[in-house]
Amino acid sequence: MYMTRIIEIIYRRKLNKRRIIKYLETKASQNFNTHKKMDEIIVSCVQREIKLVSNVEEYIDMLEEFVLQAAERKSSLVAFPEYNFFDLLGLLPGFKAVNRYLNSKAGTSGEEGSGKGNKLIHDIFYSLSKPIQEAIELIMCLLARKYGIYIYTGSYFIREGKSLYNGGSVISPEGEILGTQMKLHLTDFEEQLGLTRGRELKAFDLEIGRVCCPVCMDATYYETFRLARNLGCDMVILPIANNEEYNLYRALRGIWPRVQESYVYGIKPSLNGWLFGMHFTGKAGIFAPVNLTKNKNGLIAISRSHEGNNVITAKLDIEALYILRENDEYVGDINPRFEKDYYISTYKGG
Amino acid sequence: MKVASIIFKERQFNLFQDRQYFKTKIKEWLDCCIEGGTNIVVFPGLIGYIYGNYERYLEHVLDISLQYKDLYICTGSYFETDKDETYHSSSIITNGRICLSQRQLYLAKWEKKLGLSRGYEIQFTEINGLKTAILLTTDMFYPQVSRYLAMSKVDLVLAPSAIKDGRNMALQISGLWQNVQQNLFFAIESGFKGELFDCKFFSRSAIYGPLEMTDKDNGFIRLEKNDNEVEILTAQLDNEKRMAAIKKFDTLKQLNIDLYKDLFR
Repeated sequence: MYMTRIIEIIYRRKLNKRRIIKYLETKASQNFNTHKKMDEIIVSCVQREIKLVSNVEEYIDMLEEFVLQAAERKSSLVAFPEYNFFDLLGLLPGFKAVNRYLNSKAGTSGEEGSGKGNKLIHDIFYSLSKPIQEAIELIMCLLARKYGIYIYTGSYFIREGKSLYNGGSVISPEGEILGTQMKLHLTDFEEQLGLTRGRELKAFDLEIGRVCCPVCMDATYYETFRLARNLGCDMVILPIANNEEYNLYRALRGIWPRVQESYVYGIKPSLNGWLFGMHFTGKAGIFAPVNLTKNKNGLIAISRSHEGNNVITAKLDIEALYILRENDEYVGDINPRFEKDYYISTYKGG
Repeated sequence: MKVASIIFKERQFNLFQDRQYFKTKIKEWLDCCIEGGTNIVVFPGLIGYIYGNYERYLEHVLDISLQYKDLYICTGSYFETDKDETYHSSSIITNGRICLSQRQLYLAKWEKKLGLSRGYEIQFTEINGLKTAILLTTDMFYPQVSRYLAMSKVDLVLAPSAIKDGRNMALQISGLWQNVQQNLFFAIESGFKGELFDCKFFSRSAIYGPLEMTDKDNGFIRLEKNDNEVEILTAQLDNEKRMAAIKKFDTLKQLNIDLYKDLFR
């Protein structure tokens, strides 16, 4: 308890609000005016490597570089990955050395992600969650306003009462938080960590269209994307941080099939690198239904490698998506009699 | 348990218009299954339609099944008429009796043009200790059907398929493969290839399992290749291995059921 309080104090000092504002004010200001209307939708998503930072300025520089790239490509929106705050763990005294040790021992104990020590990790995350949340939201709001661009923050821990969620926020080009979405389906590891899952899928109205922002594991479930369609979404942002070695078919279990069955555009920012001896991999990409893509493979743009830094950018054609929904072979049918009691007959009413 | 999926060759399409060739080929397939110790075989989508009259087709399979004791035959699909309605259907037959019939629940555009109707119930049967159901071709693209099967604790799905413009492997993966991965049952797909109703159909045959249990970590236990010789895919389905795979990545455990109340409004 004492230790976690100390950690929170350290983070509050190192992620001081005035320090963040002052640093961003001193950096050269550019006005890109990338904020566009429906006639041309260009979106970007970030693939990036975890880089433990020594101060918040390093973290801001790193994020800004990605926002700048997206803005230079005239993107209306840039999306960051799941666990977009891991780099800030570098602010914890001694963490870098511990992390180097754990990474060097990766795979040797056979206990990777086994849940041992999860209570301690939970308490540490709980204590630093609030200062990190406030810092990320502030940084992203300032960057969104500076570049006139929608930002999906990527996910971070969100503390509400005694609960800790994994969620991310959508920020307007004016620098306002439009809303926050919690992760709805947890991994076993997150469950062991004591995270709480969200209870509602929200939709956010942007000038470029309506968007939902479920998180990583949520794309394992067709229900998430079905709900997104029910909410009128044409785009789904899905930040990921996959703690496993890269495999094409494992990657295909996520957003790709969901996009195919729900006929939305999918935007997948991805985190990679090493932390706590765990290896995160994944390609950032922008996806569409097969018949909307040039090579008929469901990919509009995808990173070449599952590691390293990259910004993936693509133009989305919402009108073409609507036409495809009307005309494609295996979409849009309804069976009222089968669907009438589906919730009860399938899930036994919860 | 050993299972088999028939590989329908494009070049066979015209030959199958000849009733005698059709019957001979079915006998060849079944002989081959019995010699190999197969317990279940799945015939391709639409094969019963090619036969002509679906009742006669079923009679033929019922008769011939008597010669192949204890072999479960998924008939492939056919158009079944009932009163004024026509359904895209399939059955499982063994020892001269139908032990399960299934009507397709959702319709593709080409099926709507033909005026087909939708079924609304899903049937189950048990084969060698595995709870088994049929998933017809268009239903593969409506994930609510596979989820219903998984939540009903189905272990094995038999899937006669006929995917329009399915030569693109991405389209096929977006069907049954991905449903197996989010629901973790076994599935046997037997694909039709040919031209009917002004549509070109192309579906590969495959036997699927959860990714974590497959040798190449890809979710395919067996997959049809561009090989002119092989006419039947076979595989041993190891249910204990599947259960071990589910323990590694149990998707259904993390369902957020309260969230789904308004899934179908």
